[in-house]
Amino acid sequence: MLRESCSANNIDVNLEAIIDPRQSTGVPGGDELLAFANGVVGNDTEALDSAREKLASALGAEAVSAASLIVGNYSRNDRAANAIGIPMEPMFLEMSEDFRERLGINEFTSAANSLK
Amino acid sequence: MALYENSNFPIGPETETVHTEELATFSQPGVWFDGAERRSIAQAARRARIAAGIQGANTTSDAEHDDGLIDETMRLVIDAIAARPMAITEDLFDDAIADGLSEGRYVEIAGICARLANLDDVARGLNIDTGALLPAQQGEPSRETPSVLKDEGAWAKTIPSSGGGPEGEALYGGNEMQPFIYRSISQIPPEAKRQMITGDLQYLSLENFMDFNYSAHPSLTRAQVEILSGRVSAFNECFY
Repeated sequence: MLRESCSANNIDVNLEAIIDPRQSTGVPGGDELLAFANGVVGNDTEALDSAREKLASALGAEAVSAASLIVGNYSRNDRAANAIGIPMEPMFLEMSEDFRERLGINEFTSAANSLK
Repeated sequence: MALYENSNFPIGPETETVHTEELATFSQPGVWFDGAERRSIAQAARRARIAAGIQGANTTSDAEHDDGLIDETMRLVIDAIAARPMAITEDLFDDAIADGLSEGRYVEIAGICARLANLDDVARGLNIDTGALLPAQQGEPSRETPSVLKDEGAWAKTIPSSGGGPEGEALYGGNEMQPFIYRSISQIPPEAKRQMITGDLQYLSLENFMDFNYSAHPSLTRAQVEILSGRVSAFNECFY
């Protein structure tokens, strides 16, 4: 979805930044969003506090609210998916084939649920 | 006190309402667990997240109380889903079932842990205390099993998109291509329903999913939304 939404807006996105957040996505505000997401789901509260301030400065207070809601949403969905062992739909497997290996996604523990 | 009263970042009234309802579900009777048991599961999930350092120390004191309603098998499942979703393998499910936990109870635990993580991560993002769990509501679990459950390739059975009986119709509204993520906890229809309600609210509704210029949040473009979702899923090593 990230690649498709960037392509629709002529943005050359660096997908590797999703796996390695030290890299830049190439999307405006992307660095701040990556750091914030990492902060919420990780265990470094100081890093989270710093990321929250930087996100608010870069994209505004409403962006912090929106980002919190998105992160929460995926915290839920990832847990449901991993806990039930759901496989990915064939259409999405096909769409992602070209970058999954490169990004190391095929090595995720949960990959076993789809790549049987 | 309203859930987001102390937030320095704006949260709209619809989110306040939906999340307040969401929080209440963790103390209400479910399908296989009563209100007290569900509340204990939620408390155990919070304790696991605190121990893992992914939930703030300002979490309400609910998390400290252990009322003994969780057995060891349940605790292992809760710990894994709540605090270490990236490390879950099929062994977690298989071992729990072998130890006597029913498939339905496993799915209900997964629903509670997953949905509570949503609320608690929103609170973490906003830098506010998590909402206090309500007192347990009286009442018996429904013990209602969906009329159609199918092995669709996941570890637990799910209600299929097509031919899912009245429960499938109620959940999916006739959508015969319901994404698997929204069928994942469908063995417990009320849990799946809540997942979809908050998904529509916090992310986007399915009808807008393939519109790559659509964002439900005016402050973020769709690409920015997907950066967040991608990073969280990468962190949780969620292949799906």
